[in-house]
Amino acid sequence: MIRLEGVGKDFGDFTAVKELSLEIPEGKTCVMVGPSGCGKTTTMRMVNRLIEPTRGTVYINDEDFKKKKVEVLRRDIGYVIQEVGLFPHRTIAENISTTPKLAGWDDKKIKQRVDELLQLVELDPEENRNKFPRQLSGGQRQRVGLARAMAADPPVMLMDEPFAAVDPITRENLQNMFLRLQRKMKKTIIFVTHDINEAIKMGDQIAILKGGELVQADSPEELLANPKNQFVSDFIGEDRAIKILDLFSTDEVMWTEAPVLSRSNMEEETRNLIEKGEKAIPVIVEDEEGKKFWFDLDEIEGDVSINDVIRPLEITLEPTNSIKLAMARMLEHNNDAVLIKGDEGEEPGILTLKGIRNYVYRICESKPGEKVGI
Amino acid sequence: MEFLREILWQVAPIRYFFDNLSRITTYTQNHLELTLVGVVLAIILWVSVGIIIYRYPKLSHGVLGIASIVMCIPSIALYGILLTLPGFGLGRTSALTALILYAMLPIVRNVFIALRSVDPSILDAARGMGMSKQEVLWEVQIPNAMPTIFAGVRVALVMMVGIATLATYIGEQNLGRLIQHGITRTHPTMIIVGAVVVSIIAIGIDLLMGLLGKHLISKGLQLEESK
Ligand SMILES: Nc1ncnc2c1ncn2[C@@H]1O[C@H](COP(=O)(O)OP(=O)(O)O)[C@@H](O)[C@H]1O
Ligand SMILES: [Mg+2]
Repeated sequence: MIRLEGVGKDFGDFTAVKELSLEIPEGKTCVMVGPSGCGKTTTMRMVNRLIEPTRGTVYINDEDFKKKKVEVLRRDIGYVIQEVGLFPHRTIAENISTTPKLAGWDDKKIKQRVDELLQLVELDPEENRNKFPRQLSGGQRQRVGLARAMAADPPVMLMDEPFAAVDPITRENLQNMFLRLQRKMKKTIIFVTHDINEAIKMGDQIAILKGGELVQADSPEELLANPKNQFVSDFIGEDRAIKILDLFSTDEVMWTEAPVLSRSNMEEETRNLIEKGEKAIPVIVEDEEGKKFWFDLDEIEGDVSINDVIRPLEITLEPTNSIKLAMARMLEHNNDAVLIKGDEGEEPGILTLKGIRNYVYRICESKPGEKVGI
Repeated sequence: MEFLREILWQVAPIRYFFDNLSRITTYTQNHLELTLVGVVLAIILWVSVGIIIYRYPKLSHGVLGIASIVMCIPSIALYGILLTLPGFGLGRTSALTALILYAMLPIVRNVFIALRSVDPSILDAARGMGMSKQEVLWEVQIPNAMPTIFAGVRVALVMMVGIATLATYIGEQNLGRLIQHGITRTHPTMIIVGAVVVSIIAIGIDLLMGLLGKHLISKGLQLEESK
């Protein structure tokens, strides 16, 4: 856990960070985001005392960070920067060994750890361990930078725009790799970026800064649903509804109890459903060949027959896919629903365009702190 | 073979060289001794000064200014001045002092510039990982500054071989003696032999330093930066 209490920094007459208080729970990633010059880097560097705060203090796991010798404090905090800062005169293995060596590990243990870390960041140890930084690409260097920061298994990590200097495809690979790692490692992380999309993707918590002050700190969902003021909504952008699509997986929004009717006597079964008082639910229809169709019970009115509204259910997605992907597929195929595979032994679900529309709308309209169900 | 020897023997400097081999060997030994002792002392002294003015940049202006001025004093005059100082006089002390003073600019300046131009992000990462100031200096900064520092030492050393020649005027028995005597006796052959041997030593040392550099400078720094 990291807790900043009234932390601030003046450079001469200029106040870079006013008085910032923020708590990052154990194992969570807090992304600090804001326009250039708003004090993100300064705030982050105060945590490992590369910048001495003018006021306030920082608690790491409830211990005042001034209690330890500064070098010892830093050894327990992984540090990753945009420029990576690998030592060009040392091999990849030697670079990664930096903190274990400072901590006095024995050679055998260090060697094992280096290989383990290279595998973790998805680089072949055999091929890369004896190379020098100048022999690696930008993306590979940042992987090594990450491995070096994690070498002595610090519980806390600070990352200053770590993926900002690489091309978009490499960046996405690095982000995904990092998310996979973090799921296993559960480190407490402060991650700085100026890119709101990256913040939404990486953060459990997003802290928006402006002019050295904290404007809003919330989960990505809450932030998108309830931007605190005009500055935050401007920073998020006009497409917050689209950004929300990225945050939820299909299984969070899908309909799991849709009735499945057989094509041959769907009329009769539908009448039964209506008589039971069901309305406005998606209904799946399966024919003899196992082909699936669907319609919404709402659509059966007056002399509208099922055959007028029934349409194929052609697309199947995973429960872990984002609802954004589901939207994209529907648009591509001019469909308005997708089938979501059930986990082992479980019924499949159905995700409809109407369902997504309702869900996103209700999130956008929700009050601060309110939970939105399906 | 015999014939070739006959022809070479006709070339005066070669004959002079072989006729006076033992004397020239002694001169060469003295010459090398002076230069090498000079360079070792110069490295110890000027690298330290370079580090100090890097740590206290306020001093850098003054120190580098002095180094430039020293460089401008004609070497013969510098030997002359040292000669008159108490405790120096004729001999090794004055000769060494002069050589060390001439090495000041190339070494101090290169150390200073090299330390300053190490990529700040490398130092930031080093400090951020918990290296102490001393660890950052010796394990990160100096190794990275090595190519430039080494280039300075190389220039200084080659220059010292040349300037050591003039130490003959304050009593050094080195290759300068051949040139000095050649001039006073109007004996061009002696001058040529002296000059050629000094040049060969300078070139040889330069080549040797090139090889040494390959070993002393990390392989990682000798690689081309990939894009
Ligand atoms: N060492 C310094 N001296 C003076 N001003 C500084 C220093 N470091 C940062 N600043 C100023 O503090 C403000 C915040 O900087 P920084 O934290 O680097 O911003 P960010 O990382 O959000 O882009 C900027 O206006 C910057 O110019
Ligand atoms: Mg910054």
